[in-house]
Amino acid sequence: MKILKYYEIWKINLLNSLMYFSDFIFYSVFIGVIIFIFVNLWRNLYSTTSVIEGFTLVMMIWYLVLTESMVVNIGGTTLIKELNQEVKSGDLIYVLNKPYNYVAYHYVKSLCQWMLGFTTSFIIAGLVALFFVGALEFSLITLPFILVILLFSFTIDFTISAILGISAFWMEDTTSFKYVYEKIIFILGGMLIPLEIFPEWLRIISAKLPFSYIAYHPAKLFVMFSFKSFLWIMLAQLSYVIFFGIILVILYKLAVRKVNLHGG
Amino acid sequence: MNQVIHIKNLRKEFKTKHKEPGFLGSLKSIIHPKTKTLTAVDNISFNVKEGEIIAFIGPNGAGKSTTIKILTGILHPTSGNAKVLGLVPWKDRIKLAYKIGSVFGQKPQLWYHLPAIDTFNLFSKIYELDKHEYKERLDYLVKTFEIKEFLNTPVRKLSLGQRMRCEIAASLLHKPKIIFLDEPTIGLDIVAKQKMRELIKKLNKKEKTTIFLTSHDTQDIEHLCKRIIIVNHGRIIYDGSVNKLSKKFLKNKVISVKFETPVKKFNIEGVKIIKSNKFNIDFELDTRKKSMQQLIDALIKKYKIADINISDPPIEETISLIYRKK
Repeated sequence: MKILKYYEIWKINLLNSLMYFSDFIFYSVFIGVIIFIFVNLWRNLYSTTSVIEGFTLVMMIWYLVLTESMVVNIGGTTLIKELNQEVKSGDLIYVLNKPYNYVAYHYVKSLCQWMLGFTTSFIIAGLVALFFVGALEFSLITLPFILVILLFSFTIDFTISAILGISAFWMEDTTSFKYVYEKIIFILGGMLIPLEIFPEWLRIISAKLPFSYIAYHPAKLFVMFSFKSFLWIMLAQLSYVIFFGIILVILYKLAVRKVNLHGG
Repeated sequence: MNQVIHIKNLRKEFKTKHKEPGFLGSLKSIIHPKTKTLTAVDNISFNVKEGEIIAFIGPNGAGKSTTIKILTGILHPTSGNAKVLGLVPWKDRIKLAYKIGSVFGQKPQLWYHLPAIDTFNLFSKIYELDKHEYKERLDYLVKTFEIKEFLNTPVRKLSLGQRMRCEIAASLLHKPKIIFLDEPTIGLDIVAKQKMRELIKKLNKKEKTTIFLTSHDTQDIEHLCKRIIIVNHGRIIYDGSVNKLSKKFLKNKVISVKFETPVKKFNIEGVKIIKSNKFNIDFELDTRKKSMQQLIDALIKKYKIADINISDPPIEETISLIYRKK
């Protein structure tokens, strides 16, 4: 019964998101354009060699299809802003006065938006990649494993974004957090280039940080799948989800006491 | 009757940032941020019985919404105790949410782009209603609130009156024992307001739902409530019967007199004429200056009276006087 209510929240968010489906398409077309630019850029870099840091051109472009589709649709870009807005506008009252868990409510809401956004972006960006560089060598058997990793990627991002968003209970504005977090994922998360291209010391550090488990590791697993990597990545992701999840729960409990909705 | 709301010495303070004007003030506020404590609710105590319709009113910033937010578990008070249906709202927020409903007139809870029925279906799952029980309840509310014809229309396409009926129906799906209505008639036209009042009354009568109402519309109060609590600056300044309110605060009476013969000049001392014509006159009497007996004696002596009607001034006037005084 309890789980069912979160499924219903997911469902109504899906219905609602479909009303804005043109927005998802617009974002996705934009990602398609970015992939087209990357294709041209990387083609030049691959003109003298067929492999860069273990990635062929096809792998590199499909890597970027996944990281771009992932990062553009995660909570870092929407959830932080949404929680900030909810606290500021007082809309929080309609989330807090219902018999469900506030964090779980936002989790399923964000999950729905991410699923829809990611799928649309991946299809459009994938079609661009398919047309310009061809298909990736990919076994369908690995798909469920990739999906599990992607779900964990989303969850790590959700916990970090929710922590930053919930800080709106103390801070006047969390827009700066959103800006910094986005840029960290762009660079240290491996959204723009795989971490192998970084200097060695930076690659080692970045590969251990949670941000790379949102974009880099899942995307690399997608283009170079191995069960060993899958297990290691999942284990690391799980650890980060637990770590940030605990912080989030503690912070939320403190935040609820800080609710400062004054006036009608 | 059981007490469903019990509040004792409830207090809520908010800390707000205080900044001096200008650029220097901005710099100072970064180095030495100053906060100002604002007392939104100041040691209030009251009880509400089951089935009561209570008006909780006050000017803007008086602490009404803050009190409702504490009673619904959204805000933690700074001090004091409160129990709603035997639960401490801020400690048992989720448990309490199953038993109460709330409508904040200015903050819609229906999904704006979707038909109201989608929100109803969602709420049935959120409140864990049994399928059969939900269907029965939905049929009843759809009939009572007359919302059948636009149940499948996206909320954004509904008129404000239609939307508010759906809002209240949505908050009643789980048969709450208490419903908090924060300005439910705001922005509605006269007909929609009347309809809304009828529905609230019906709900209270049929289901014995306790209604905790805030409104700036005195008509809402006069039509719906027997008891009124007036707050200002976070404090209760009146808690009692709506009928006795004017008697307590206003010493004026409104008198309407109908004459048998036309009156050329109305000449009674100590009264303030509101409107007049040859056969009718409405005026106000300050009973501290002239007693009713004196007035009637004077009227009978000077004029041939066909009818006379004595009433209290409108509640609006009383409330406005209270707000200005305190």
